[in-house]
Amino acid sequence: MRRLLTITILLFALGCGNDVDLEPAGMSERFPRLTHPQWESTVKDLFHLPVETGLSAGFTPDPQLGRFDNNIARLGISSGLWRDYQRAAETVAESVVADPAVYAGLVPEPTDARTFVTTFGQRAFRRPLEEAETARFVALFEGAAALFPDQEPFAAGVRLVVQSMLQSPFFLYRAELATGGGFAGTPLGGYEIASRLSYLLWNSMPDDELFAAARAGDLGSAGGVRAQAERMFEDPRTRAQIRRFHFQAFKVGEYRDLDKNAALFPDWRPELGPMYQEEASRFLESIIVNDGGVAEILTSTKAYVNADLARVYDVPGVVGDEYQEVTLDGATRAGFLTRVGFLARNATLRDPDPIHRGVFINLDVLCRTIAAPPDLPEDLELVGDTNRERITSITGEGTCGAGCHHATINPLGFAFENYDAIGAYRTTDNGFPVDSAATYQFADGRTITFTDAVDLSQQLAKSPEAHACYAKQLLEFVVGRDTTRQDQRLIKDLAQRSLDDGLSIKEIVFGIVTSRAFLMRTDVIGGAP
Amino acid sequence: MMNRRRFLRGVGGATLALPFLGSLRPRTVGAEVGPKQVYSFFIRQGNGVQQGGYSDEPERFWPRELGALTKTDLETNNSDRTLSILADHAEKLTFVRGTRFGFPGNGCGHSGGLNQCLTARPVTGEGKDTLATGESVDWFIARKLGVEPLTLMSGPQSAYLAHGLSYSGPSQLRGARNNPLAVYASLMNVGASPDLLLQIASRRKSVNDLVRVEMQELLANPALSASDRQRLDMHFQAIRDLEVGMACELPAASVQGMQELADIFEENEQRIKVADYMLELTAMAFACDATRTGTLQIGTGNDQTRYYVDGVLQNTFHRISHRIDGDGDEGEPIPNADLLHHGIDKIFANIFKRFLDRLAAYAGPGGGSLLDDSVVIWTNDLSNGPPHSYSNVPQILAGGAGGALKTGQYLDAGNVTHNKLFNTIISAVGIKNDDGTPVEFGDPSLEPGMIDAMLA
Repeated sequence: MRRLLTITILLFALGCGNDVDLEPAGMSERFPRLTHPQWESTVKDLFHLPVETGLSAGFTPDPQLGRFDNNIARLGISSGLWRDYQRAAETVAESVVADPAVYAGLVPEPTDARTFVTTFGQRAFRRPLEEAETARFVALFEGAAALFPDQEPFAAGVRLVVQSMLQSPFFLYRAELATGGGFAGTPLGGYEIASRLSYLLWNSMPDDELFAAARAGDLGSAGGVRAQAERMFEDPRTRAQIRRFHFQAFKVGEYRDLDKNAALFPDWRPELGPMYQEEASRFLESIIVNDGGVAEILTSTKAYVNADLARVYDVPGVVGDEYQEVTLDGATRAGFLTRVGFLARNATLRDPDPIHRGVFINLDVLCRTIAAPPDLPEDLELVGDTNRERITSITGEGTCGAGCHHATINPLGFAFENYDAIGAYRTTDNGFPVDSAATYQFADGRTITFTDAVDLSQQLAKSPEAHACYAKQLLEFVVGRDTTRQDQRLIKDLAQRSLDDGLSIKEIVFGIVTSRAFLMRTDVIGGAP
Repeated sequence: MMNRRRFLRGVGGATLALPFLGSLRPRTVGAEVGPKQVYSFFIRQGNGVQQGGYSDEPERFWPRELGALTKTDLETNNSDRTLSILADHAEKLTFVRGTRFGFPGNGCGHSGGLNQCLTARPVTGEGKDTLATGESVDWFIARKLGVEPLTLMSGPQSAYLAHGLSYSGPSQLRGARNNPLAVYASLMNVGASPDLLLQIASRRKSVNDLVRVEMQELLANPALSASDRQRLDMHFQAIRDLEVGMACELPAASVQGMQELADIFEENEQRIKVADYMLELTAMAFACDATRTGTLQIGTGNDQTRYYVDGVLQNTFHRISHRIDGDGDEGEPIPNADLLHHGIDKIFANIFKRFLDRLAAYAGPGGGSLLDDSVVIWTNDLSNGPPHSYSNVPQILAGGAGGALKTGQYLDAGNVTHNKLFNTIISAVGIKNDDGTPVEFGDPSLEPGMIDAMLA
């Protein structure tokens, strides 16, 4: 215990000392397990299958811990999951040798056990095999014929080795075994960096070119890593990852299942939910792919709409189901927070929901923590002509909600009273003019006053908090764990450049993948941080 | 108590070499599922039970007094009651009267009861062809735990009213397996051929041996942190758990018995034997942690089995339950039909008792017996004989669900809808909503809540 304490203090002191001008590498664990989607895409790429196997649909699901599905806290293993892996490995191995095309891709020409083990093993383990490992799998291969008496002997060997490697910890985990280095961190090996990159940008194993770069030692420098990241960014799989990130960070995944009061919103139908989702995804993707930054996410008027969405946005001239790029009215829309998906998700069946809109912005745009709500009093009675008045009557000044709601949550939510429960723009509520003006106080005491959501979005785009929050979430997604004190310097630096120089999100990603948090590891001493 | 070591006897009698056996018991490394490892099982009898309340038929089912259950009291003061058969397990039992189904049956009491029995949902459709409008409690639990439930039956697959107990979603009736040997093969994850079984076990062993070496080498790495080590150790444990599970097998006599039934398992004469094998398989599956929940429907929807009472082959259970020699509204009265119904109830009580004996013989993950870590229920899709009422359905439970339930008592839930019983069971199994609130199972129109008196 004393030793642990000393080392922790030392680390801390080093991290804060003036003589260390590099940010310390983030604490990381050595064995992040593949997520179920990663298992699928990896098996698909490993065997060059035309489509994913779908076997992971039956896997024991991971618990919802942390913000993202790749958070290491989720990625444990249980007897049930091990059984799932075992069965899936057996099924894959059986089908691989039964499918001539797949088998030919695996064993292109007459070869021997050793060549197969080393070539396939390098791809399955995402690194070259050690000699002892090769010997072990060759022995397994050679004993396979007796265990598969109905199989041609070489195919039997392939089958057993495949079945076995798919159950190996080196396949199931992205094992990071690099050692050496001091308190400042241990540089990861080239193959370890290759896996980090490919699972970040593609959610799958490295391709041949990335393996070649690892083999050639190109990933030993930040420049070499950046070159690969730039190449990989152009692959469609990166777009899918951008979606995956925002589905989770901005809850875009929840737009799919929206429900609204049909009497109040005659145009509403459940099919609009997936369209709201698609619009949000295309919007965010376009910003990232076109070198946009955090400010654009909060202010851009560019949108991708089909006829149905155009009707909600009141954009003329769009017909058909195809999505096309349009520019929204800058007086009524600015960025992600004024898009129909965010607005409709944070609304009830009939009314806007300023509380949840305000909570989302605090938690997910500004990364401001909000204390858990107290138990609701029993005598809550909504009073007022407008939605804002009714919400204020139960959470405003003079109520028990004055602390959190009145000061922190409601002002941000009220800015969006111009958008109804399906996200359409409105100037009146129940016949009364909408009041969307408010004042918000940041955690550090600064205040901003705004007239409406467009004004608010533009002011948020200039706040350090919004830039830091996006960078923090991105870092969490990249490293697959909650951020720690060691990560603060990197977050702060990226956020500053994002705010001051309009650093693009793509560049923030490149900044992260060339940082020490990504290229090095600091051993977790004595347990989880 | 049966020693777990017997499960380590591998295929062909060879003992599997399992190094690092700190404990012989598979333990849950899946902490994500919940802190406890609790097994649940739902057995359904049809046609109601013979109990007091109809005409001048005396009470022959429930004990005389509400309150604590003891072996002595059941065996002496209540020896004339069906439930006294369970006396050996008195401390582990919970008898619940006073639950009812929430919805009408749409023209056929049997079909309507069967469909509501484990779903607590209204039925859709008419007459004998109704379906439940929601998933059944076994599928709900299975989905939450990430396992697949055992869906079992003793009886013919096709009948006027066949299987109708287990639903994976609205109108998604699940087929039930009714051949014990096939269930055994499936639990062993292989076809029925012993040769193939051996081959697969050998392949798995060779793979596991290799993976184990890899894990050992990883664990030997001095640079690992405590959390790295913990993660790998969980993995290591999971492999071992499964090897223990893999070696689970039934005694040769049971396998032989199931093989003898392989072509006649649907026949009237085999109903009880098949039910017993199914429950033997269920106990084994739980002991090996192959799954954690499931159902067994004994008899068809309006169980037409002809049971032996007092050594004599009787009329069909359905007719006896209606007290007349006819499947409709009319027929000659069957003499002493209420006593015959009581006799059939005792057959079911004995089936349930043998299941409890098996669960009590296995060690459970919580340190006691497997029964202690289970909550199993013998339920019915009707309450009683001729009225075939949906009120006061007999709910006979056993097992403390790892300490979550207060057992050893006979209680009256107070004429509540039976979704509350399932809410209680779901809570006892350790399942909550994502926000930590208790699950409200069944139709949203039903009054929410649990049967608090059942909770420890």
